[in-house]
Amino acid sequence: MNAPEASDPAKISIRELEIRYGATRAVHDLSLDIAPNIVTALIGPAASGKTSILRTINLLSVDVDRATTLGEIRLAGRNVLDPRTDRAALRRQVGMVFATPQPLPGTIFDNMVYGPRLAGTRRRADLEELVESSLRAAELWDEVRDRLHRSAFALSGGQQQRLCIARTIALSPEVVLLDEPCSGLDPISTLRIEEMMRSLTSRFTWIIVTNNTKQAARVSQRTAFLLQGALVEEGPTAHLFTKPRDARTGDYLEGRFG
Amino acid sequence: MSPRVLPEKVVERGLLLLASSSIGVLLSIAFFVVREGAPLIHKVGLAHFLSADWHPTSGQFGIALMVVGSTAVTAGALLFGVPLGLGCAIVLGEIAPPRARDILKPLIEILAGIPSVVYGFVGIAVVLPWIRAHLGGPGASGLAASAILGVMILPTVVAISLDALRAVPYTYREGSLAMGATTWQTIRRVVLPAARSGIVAAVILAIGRAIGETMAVVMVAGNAVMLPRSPLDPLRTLTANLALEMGYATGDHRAALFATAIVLFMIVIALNALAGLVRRRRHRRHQVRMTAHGWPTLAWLTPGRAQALAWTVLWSFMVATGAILAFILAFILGHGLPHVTPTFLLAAPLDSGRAGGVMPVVVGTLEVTLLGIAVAAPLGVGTAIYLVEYTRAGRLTGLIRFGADCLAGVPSIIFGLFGFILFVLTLGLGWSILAGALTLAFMTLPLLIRTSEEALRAVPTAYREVSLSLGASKWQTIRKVVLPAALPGIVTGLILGVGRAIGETAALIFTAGSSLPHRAPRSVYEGTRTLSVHFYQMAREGLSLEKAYATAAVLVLAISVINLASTLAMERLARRNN
Repeated sequence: MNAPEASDPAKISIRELEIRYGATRAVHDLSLDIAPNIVTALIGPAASGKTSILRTINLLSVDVDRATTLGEIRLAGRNVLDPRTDRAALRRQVGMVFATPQPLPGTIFDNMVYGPRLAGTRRRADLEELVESSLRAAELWDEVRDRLHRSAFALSGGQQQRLCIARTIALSPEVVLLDEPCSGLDPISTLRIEEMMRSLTSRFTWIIVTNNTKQAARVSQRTAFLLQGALVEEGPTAHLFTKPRDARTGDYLEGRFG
Repeated sequence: MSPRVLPEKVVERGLLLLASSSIGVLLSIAFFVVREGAPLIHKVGLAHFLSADWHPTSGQFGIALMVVGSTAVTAGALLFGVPLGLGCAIVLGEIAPPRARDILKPLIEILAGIPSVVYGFVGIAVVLPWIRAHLGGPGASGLAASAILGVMILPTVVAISLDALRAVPYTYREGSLAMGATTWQTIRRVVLPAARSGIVAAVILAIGRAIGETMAVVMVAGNAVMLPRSPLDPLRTLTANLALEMGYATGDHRAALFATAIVLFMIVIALNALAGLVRRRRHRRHQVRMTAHGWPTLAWLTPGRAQALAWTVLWSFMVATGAILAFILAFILGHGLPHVTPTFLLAAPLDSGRAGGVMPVVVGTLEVTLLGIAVAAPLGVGTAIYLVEYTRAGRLTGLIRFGADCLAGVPSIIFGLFGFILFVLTLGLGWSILAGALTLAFMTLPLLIRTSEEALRAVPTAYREVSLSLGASKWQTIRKVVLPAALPGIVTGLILGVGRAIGETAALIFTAGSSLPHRAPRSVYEGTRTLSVHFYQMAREGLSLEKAYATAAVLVLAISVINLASTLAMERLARRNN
């Protein structure tokens, strides 16, 4: 896939974002456009603010970590940071996959239909169809079709993570946020998830936070490099990795710090 | 070789001996209660014992009506206490912002510390007249006892449910929120089902607490041995029967009361075992399942409205609980504090307590309490050291912990009967400070084990490893590194034990005695009335309302301050260690 043109309208526009946890400032003066229907990677060393940004796009940082924010995150014309934002609607629009697989207690089927049921899908046939199509998209269907009604915890780590991606897809989100989705997985499971992402890239706008720069290079079309809560540079992944504009980016990519 | 080091084996054996104390106490309670009571059941036959005729003077010893009474009061208490307690737990664990939680949580601790005689007194002074005026009947009734007991079991429900909610991985909540669930949907569909076994355990332990409660129930239930046909009828519970008749019963009558205690003891052990089983299931998360049914179907009940409704209900439960506490405190302190004068604290009582003060009672209370804690401390701390430092989770630890849990659930009236038989009669101590203190020691043992265990577990493993790597033996490490680091937590636990002991009535009335002393006790072989017992007698005999209120005020104030200070200290320690 080619790097998108700069003229593409951004899916998400972040303007002068500041994120605080009490007295600690995690992100400041951050402006960034996320292009639609490609994978954008956020990279940077520890405490660079990348996970904070991710968790603020669906307001989990505000609701769970009690973060306070300034600035704007525009998604489809609306400012997400507006206190009146409908959380449930936002989180259906912006799905999230966590660092460690987080199945809910229950069966594979329970996990798959949890979100759609809350969103109002009731008919059994509709739900079953949705479960199958989403599991197929996440390339998990063939492995679990015979045990949909068994505990989700019985799956392997890699399968659990693909289940978490599948249940996110089942809500037909516009944006999918991935927070180091492969950090706890073996290389083969990681590879399967990356393959799946490649085949689904154009269906969603993806943002992936990763500590693995090679993974960023493999799966993303654009990459943003963050340092201590600020954006250092952002650009097409191929450019950023081969000819970074900022010396610090090069240092990080070559493993000189972080 | 370093000189004068206790051989490790000796230390370990010694600690094991201390650690088996809770099992030992449990077994000896069982032994004495069965020895005193079982022959009667054998003599009159089980059918007679379970019949509905209780006429001790004519040799009729059927306890069925009291079983009905205990069951009815317990069921009623659950009706009040469980929704209120669960609501508070959800507010504290899931909804309240941290700052509000820091203020609200200690309220529950204060509620837990209020002595049962004070609850009973508030029942007599407020609840009974209200029922008489608005609902009719004599006032003293199953309904009154249920309402009072409901408030009394609330802290148990809150504490254990809160533990269960905290044990639910935060990942469940995030996962659910990330899929577009509201906070209330997350609580209802995911968090509560995942915490279900812990909540069930909370209810079971609350049942044990309600069945075992004595003094408050005696004061408000009316105590007529009859079949209650409405909630407004008076009734008598098993525990009330023990408290009312033990003082004068002899021969078969006394044996019948001990036989009643056997029944109570077995119920409580069974409930504790059940709670333990249910709680252990929590760890098998594969069996937990979120609820998939019952999705809202009412069109107007949007997720947003459902959440607003739930928040209103839950917060109103929390506010109601706070209001009950505020009322009890205001009532007791408002009526009592004006009469707490220096003379009241420093003078001896005159004219059966109608005039004068409570000085000898206060001194006696302090002696009983401090002596009791002094005896319990080595047992409790030793047990905790053994559990934390010397054993891995296994059958032995399981057994010791089960013993401690059961002991924690044994009603204080049974401790009282046990202490009466063992210390007062068998060891010939008579009604004395020593007998009371030893009984209290056994009663507070489970609390001391638990708090010391927590304090020891909070000591970082690295401390131990560093000490060992520098050539210290295991016992040297414990003595010179672990214990000093855990000391603040252990001491806080001891203070909490003092607070618990000061409020105790049922266990002391038959061991330390109930006659009013006219001067401070001069030896531990003298009997004394403790503050709670004194208050109970004053409230019951109705000699001087003024002095009763003043006594209650001293009691409530002392216990609230002790409880609040020690819980706050404990939380600060926990936070520092994290």
